[in-house]
Amino acid sequence: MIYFTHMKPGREEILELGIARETVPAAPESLHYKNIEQAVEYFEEFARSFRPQSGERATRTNMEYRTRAMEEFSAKTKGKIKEISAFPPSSEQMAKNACLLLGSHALITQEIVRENREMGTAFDKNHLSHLTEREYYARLMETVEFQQKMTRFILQYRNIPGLDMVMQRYWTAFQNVSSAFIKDPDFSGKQERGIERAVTASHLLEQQGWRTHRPRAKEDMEGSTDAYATGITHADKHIILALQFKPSVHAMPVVDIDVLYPFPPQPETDKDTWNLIANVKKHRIEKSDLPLFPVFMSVPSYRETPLIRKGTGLLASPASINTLLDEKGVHALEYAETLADMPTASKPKKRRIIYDAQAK
Amino acid sequence: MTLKQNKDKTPEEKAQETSWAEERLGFPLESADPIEEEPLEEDTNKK
Repeated sequence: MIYFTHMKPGREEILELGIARETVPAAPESLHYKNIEQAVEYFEEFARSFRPQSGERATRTNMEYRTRAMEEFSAKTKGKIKEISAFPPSSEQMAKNACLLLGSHALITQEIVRENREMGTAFDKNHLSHLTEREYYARLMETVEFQQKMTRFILQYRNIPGLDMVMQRYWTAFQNVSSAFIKDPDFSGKQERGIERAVTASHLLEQQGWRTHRPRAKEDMEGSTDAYATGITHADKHIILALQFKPSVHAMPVVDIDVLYPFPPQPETDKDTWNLIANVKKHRIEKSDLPLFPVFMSVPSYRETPLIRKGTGLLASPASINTLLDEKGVHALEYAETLADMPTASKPKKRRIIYDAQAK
Repeated sequence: MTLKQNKDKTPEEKAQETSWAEERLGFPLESADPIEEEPLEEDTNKK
């Protein structure tokens, strides 16, 4: 008898053999899936149980209440992370996953800090609104670090069945807890789509022969560079792309790719894109033969196409790329591959020596 | 396509590719190569 998993439960007639086979339910049973699901359950329980003690009436319009509640949440989350870190070795992977998921408190913190700064709100001296520029930047980097880690987490586990469903549960829990602090009803959705966008773009590139990377240290995370992609040609030449991902500006289920080389002049680019180009130029000045090129990608979400999976941003199937990449996108990536042959080192300037042959 | 495909690269080749980029950029990088799924648990319906 042949037994299959990942099929719908039921009985199937195998006419040639005159037998029926039982199929088992499509429940993913891999160890990785279990560790991820348990981590999400941990986060769900924590998010459900959080009740701010700030004493004010819960209201999303009261900035002071929301700030204090957020600080409480952030402190409790950090406490939970510390607690999980002491879990026994047998739960190490689950604990690592749970710590990662709990790191989403940085998103809520950053949003409240941003709102306070925008409003010019002044509270007591130890308050978040009194952050110095350095402290503000450090918080921003924590947010970027979480986004990078989450993107990487999803990409690493892309082959685990059931990942979309369990990540959807995670985002629902995040929505439920963040809605207590954040005015914008789409705040959670925006965070989810931002991470999923990075996953979609990275997954697409990886199917085309690129490998995507994130800086390990948050100090190396540059605000305008969302990821790096490396490629090796069959002639063993290396290329590195500095990538920036933005939401698609049209409703077409297509990923737009713009290889920004030769570098466009500043007036033709917006501030973020210009920062991306400036970062690449800075690296190339430091290392004149660095084959590093800026690439801008605008990416649709699951809302525009079923070719992108809700909860993760992963491509629905390898064939999804045939629709997500139109002719322009294909040509852009082909051009990116040819950059391996682009001369990068600038020729040293010849010194002009003027001498007088008659001089003594 | 002129790039080497990721499915054809050995783990050592992937590690070298990352190291090369780290050395050129000047900071460590983390790749997002897929983790292979652990073997499924034994099917309890098996006779």
